[in-house]
Amino acid sequence: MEHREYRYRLTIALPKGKLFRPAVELLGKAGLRTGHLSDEARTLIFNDEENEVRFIICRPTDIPTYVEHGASDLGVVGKDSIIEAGKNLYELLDLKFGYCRFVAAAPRESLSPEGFYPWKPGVRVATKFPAVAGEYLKKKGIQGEIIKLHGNVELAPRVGLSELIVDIVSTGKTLQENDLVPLEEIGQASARLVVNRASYRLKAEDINRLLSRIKESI
Amino acid sequence: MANAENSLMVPAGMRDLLPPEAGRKRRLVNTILERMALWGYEEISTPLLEYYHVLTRGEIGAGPDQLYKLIERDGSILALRPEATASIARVVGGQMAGEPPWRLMYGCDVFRYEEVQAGRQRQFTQVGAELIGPDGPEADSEVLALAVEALRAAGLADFTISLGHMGVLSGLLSVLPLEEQAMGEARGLILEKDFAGLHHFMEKAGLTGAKNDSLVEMLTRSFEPAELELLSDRAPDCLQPVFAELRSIAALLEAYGCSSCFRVDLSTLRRQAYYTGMVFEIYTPGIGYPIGGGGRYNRLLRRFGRDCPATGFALGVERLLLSLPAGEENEAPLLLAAGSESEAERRRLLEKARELRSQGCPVILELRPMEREAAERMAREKGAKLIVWTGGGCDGA
Repeated sequence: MEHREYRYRLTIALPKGKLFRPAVELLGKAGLRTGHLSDEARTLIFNDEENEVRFIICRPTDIPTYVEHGASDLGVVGKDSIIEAGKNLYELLDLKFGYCRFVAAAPRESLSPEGFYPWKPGVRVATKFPAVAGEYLKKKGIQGEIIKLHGNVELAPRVGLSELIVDIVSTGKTLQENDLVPLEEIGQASARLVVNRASYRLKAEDINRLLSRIKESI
Repeated sequence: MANAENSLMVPAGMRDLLPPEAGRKRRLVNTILERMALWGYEEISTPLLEYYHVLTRGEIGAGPDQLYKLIERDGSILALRPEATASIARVVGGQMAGEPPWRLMYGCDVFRYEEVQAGRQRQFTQVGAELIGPDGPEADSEVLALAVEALRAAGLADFTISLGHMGVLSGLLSVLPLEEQAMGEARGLILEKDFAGLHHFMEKAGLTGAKNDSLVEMLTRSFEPAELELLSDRAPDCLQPVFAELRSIAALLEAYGCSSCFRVDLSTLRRQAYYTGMVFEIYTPGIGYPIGGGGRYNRLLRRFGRDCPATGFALGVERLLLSLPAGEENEAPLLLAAGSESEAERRRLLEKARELRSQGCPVILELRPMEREAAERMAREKGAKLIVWTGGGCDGA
């Protein structure tokens, strides 16, 4: 707690990667000084002295953790990461970018000639999202095995690690290139503005002011 | 699993408290209980183990899968208590003599099988109070003022209590034309503060319009208790009873002289299904979770055979400790170390230790003869002031 710098009114966590640029642009439009922010520099902390806001840059999957523990008041993060993290956060706003879908997909050759997937108990599902994949199997009433991977999930069925994958898809190009066919859409995701429970109460004014400026900029 | 690797470990979510932390925690709990006793609250203690069905009858503060369960030798299912309120309701329902009101307080360990959070392991300590019997703003404001008093006694300077009302949830849901299942979904979204999800949900259900938007907007309101009067004119009809009750509570808090600790925040809703009226959560800078909370629960006691309103709160002791400044330690003890094995010197040392202890001064007594250097090392190590007894007088620091 001692290391917290109280001279900043708000700390905002931003994700490296594909959500970074749109998040920075949106916050810029909402009046924050974001011109100097970068997710490629070694620096992980940036300050906007004028608005007394501090930005921290971290891995998308870590954002829910930073925000849940209050190390950051606010965060921009994909709904996919929120679901998977299962953290106690408040979702204030759908930021309407970073759209993607959760899909289950199988290799084309495993489908019947009519295009159906022959579900069998014990099916192995490779995914970066074990919670989402587990919930999906449960809903379908199928017993299976979830295999957690950290990336390039599309490789798994090709080398016999799994029969299926559950992954997020934005254009579907990766699936196509690996000859995988989407079986079903499991859910949708987009970027969200999340807030820490305590910050939401203790810094209500600052957060609501920023929130209304962001709403106007979406 | 008593293998060598586990012999130094404790199960996940459990932890040892070492000096001085353990002492600090004990003193904090005592301080709060002593202060609450000045308000006429009496201590109650219930067993660590309860029948599973007793706890679930209380719509406990933890989901059934968060309970630590075990099997009694006769086959019945037991669980470690996840909070004290349901157990107290059981006692009041069954064996409490006399007439309400009862003012009860407790400090106890509770167990929840959940992800370990800052300042909350799976075993943690709660100190709290329940005011059982009276309904109405007088009882609610007493409990709220008592929570403020307890936090101040603990030495916490900077905190905010978010005051809400479960009637907000039922009021909002009553005006939304929804089927029962959709109602459950909306309830979940509101409780989760998933405002993005709630917005999508309302769009899907065709509930857009300005009227519904402003209803949802109410959930994100936060204001001073003094503003309640002004705002209640603008509040939708379904929230009028809530505003009326909060206004009476706010007026009494003003009289208690503690309204500056409060903010009315209609998004404050507690997950436990047994809450029926005002609810609150306590926040302090630097801790990302509430350090305490509570509210009115008028329908819980009924489940245990005594239909009687009640209101109360609990504080998370570990979280409170995290948010307090390091604070003063216990008085440093004196080290009395014998310089020789002589019988006479030992008697004088014992006599001196008795005298100092009777004056309330903590004394570490070492009767085995020590070199002066060793005694000094030990005093440094234990944070003690050293007095080497050399026969005629006190030596050392």
